[in-house]
Amino acid sequence: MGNPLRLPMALTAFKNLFSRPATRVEVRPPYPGARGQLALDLSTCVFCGVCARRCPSGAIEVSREARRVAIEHLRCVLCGVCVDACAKHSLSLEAEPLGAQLEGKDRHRVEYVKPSPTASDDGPSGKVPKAR
Amino acid sequence: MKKTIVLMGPQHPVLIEPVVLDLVLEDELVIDAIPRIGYIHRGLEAMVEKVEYADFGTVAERICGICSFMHGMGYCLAIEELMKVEVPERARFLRVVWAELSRIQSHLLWLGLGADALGFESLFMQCWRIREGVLDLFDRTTGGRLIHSVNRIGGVRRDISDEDLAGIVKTLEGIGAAFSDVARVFLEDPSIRHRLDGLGVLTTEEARTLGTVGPMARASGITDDVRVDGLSPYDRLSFSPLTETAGDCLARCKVRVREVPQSIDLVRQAVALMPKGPGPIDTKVRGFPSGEAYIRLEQPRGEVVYYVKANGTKLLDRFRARTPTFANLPAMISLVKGCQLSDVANIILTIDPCISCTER
Amino acid sequence: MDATAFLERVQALQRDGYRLLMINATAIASTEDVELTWSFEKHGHLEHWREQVPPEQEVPSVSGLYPFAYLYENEVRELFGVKVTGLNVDFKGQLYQTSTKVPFSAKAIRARLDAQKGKKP
Repeated sequence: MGNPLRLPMALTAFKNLFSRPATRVEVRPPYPGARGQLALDLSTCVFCGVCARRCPSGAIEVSREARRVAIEHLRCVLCGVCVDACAKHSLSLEAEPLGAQLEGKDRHRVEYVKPSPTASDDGPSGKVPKAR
Repeated sequence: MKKTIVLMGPQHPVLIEPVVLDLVLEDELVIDAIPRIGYIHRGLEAMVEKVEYADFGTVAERICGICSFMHGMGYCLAIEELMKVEVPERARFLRVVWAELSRIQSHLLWLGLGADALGFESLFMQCWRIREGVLDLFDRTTGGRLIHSVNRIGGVRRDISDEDLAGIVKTLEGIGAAFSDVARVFLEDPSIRHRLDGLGVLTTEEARTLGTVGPMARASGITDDVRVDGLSPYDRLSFSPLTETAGDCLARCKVRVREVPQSIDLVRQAVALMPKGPGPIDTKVRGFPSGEAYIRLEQPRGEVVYYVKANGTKLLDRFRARTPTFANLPAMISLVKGCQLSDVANIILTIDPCISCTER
Repeated sequence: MDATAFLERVQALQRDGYRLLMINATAIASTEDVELTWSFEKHGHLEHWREQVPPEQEVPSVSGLYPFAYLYENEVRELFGVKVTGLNVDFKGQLYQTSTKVPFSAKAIRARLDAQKGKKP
């Protein structure tokens, strides 16, 4: 019983011999809009804690008194619930994935602390005092 | 004739899914198979106690990586039915486009694994190379290759522009052409035919009494396809369920091979019928759901049933996904009895197992 | 629970051409009961039979009529603790390997909810 595919397979093998490798050798840059890592813009954050309550994997911790947000990157599954829930649009999903940056002890837990406004502030909250 | 017990799984060089089967052998013939599951049981259905109904879609779509899109879509459809939400037409068509792309990549994955189980590694690589084209489409349109997170209650999270949709149809034509070469090998190659022909025969009557669903039932002559009498806009697309009558492993392989060009055609139809964009892609949802809903969808592996019970608060009472592999497991166990030891892997693969879905 | 009426109804559904879709169990939080629902399907139409099952009550198996029901019934037995009798294939508690035995019993659910309340600041 002959194999009807012998000639096409031989042609494919011959073509593969002289073409580029099928696997990509270098890492390609991520596409725009890819969900790579969670990022926080501290300037607009008011520490309301909605993101921490809604996160399905418990990757965000918010402390209002300490004005601190901690993101546990190894718990984050990049679902985007916090991005939609944040009323101030402080959270966003960046395209570049975290890889080697997470290596090292505790590098995956990133803390953002907003300095408190001092008494010589101009505005009601969040404004950094001008350099004198 | 000696009786031996071989414990197969959860890890095994030729087994793709972590199902544990205790095989009772007499020489090389399998006379009994006792399954055990729970290796991948993560208790996702218990997360209704913690995660609000609005965010549970993200948990539901992480039940499984291959069938991910339809899990999220099924959950959102169930909640939308409970809250009587009208999903915009463009969003419904976008869901169909992504669902059929999900079916194409799932069948390509299975074909590759099927070839790998037979030892035909170069065919496995070719199938997965074609699959990369589909995963690229997902990456560009949803931001993720396997887990998409685009389904939200009331619609979808992202839009695809009309130019991009035309580009998708063009890319799929190229994928279809590359796939037809590979499909020829599956349908005509004598070595594949020799391994799969006549193996694991399931007659129409047996398929019905064992409660099989999906391509496994269609390969035994049952013309059940949930998309046919299904939810809009599938009722506006024209297609018919593909069936075979032989009921053996080769027939199941043929059904899946033929469903790939059918899905490519469905995407083309959906893009043609879609309302011109940009348009509304979701409806704002307020309040809490209450009541019960049953949603049936056609996943790549068969019919999936979603049951949601809500009580008017932000946490649901119950979410249950009756996945197709759960329905096909009794058929797999009955087929394994009476086969040779070297065919066990082929038979397990022929139901297209997805143990993540089965165990949740 | 009226076992005879239940089995008669299931037999009538099977004669009519319905197939067993799934057997679902819901743990009701306020009581110790488990709500069991048998769902049947024919041509897109669904029929259900529902029972509120207290912890020690025995439930008859439908595997005499639908042989593949053993998978659903073993799962309901192992995860929810419902006593199903008359199974054709009985895994004797070995089907699911979980760290908590009967993870959806009222006791286990209450333990999880208490642990969650304890963790919230």
